[in-house]
Amino acid sequence: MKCKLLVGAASFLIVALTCAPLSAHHGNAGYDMQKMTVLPNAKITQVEWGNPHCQIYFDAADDKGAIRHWIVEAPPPSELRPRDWTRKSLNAGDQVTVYFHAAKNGATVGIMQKVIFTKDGSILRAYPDPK
Amino acid sequence: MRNSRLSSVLLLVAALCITCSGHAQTKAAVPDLSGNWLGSPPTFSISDPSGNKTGTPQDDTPYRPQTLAKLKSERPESGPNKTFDTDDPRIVYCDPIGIPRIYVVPNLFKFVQTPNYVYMLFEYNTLGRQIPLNGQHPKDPDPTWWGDSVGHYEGDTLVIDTVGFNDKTWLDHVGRPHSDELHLIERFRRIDHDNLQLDLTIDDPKAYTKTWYGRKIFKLSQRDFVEHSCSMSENEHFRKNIIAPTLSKPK
Repeated sequence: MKCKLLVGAASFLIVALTCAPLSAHHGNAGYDMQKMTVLPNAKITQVEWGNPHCQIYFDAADDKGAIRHWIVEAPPPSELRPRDWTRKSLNAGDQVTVYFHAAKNGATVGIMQKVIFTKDGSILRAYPDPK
Repeated sequence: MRNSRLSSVLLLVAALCITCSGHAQTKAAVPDLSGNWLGSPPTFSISDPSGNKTGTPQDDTPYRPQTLAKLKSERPESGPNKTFDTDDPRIVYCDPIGIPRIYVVPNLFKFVQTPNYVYMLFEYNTLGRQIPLNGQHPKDPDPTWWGDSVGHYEGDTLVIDTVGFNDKTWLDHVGRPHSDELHLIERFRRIDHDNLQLDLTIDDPKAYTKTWYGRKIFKLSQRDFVEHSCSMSENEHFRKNIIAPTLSKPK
């Protein structure tokens, strides 16, 4: 599976003006909110559904093809459920494109914006799309 | 915390029982505040009609010098002085969020109106608040996280008067302090079917040079409560996974 990821994955960054999520309970000052990181062909490895934030673990190749392990936060269930995101919506093994704001210091953590499923293009939004 | 949760459950049960027995009388006598209410738009500070209270030292909040110094010493997660390495006690220790700060979280609340009490149920941290109607404060209330509240109706408005706070909570996410002399008045009015207006009066002579005001609008939500709980074990797990790496030295 890792070989497939290495072959198929490409990562790139796009710069976008974004609406900073207000509800991250520790704030978002540690993340680069001016830059949206987009990692296609990511593989979800674990989902933790809970407080204070849901945590999404995934593997994705960097621009040199090396697999990196990421953990990104998402809002708690009380905020995801109204966006039609349940604890069964995203599962280990799912192939997705992940949109998130990465940590400013280069750590492989961040705050999620949304994921798009590779198989059918369906979307799970952690926060409303930027206007 | 466990006692708080238990109290919340007991409050809910009591409220539902009383509601069943006194529903007809309540409905006829008081404004209907029923529904699940959600702040709109989400904000991190107590807004006011002039929109000037942004949490900067330059705004028109009438800080006393020691209050401003305390504000500057805080490490809030939101506002002009936001930092990822917050010392916010509601985050670091799961301390009670208190009022009026409970109104700036992106979570629902609802009223349970009975003849003698109004109960407020909060999705955030699964909290409950009991407000006796037409009562009086004790002469010397012990300082507590939520203070001592009494309520009454003025026409279409529910007025809640609270004293007896400790000084451990912030007024909002920006980190505005208050003292144990805070006297808070909340005025809830349903301005139309889908909108609830809260007008706040913040009277705290020890912390502020004069009384100041805030306003918040809540929208009627079609969704219901989902459990939200602050757990120290989950907080520690989150800190280890997300916060600590983000605060580490750049790679």
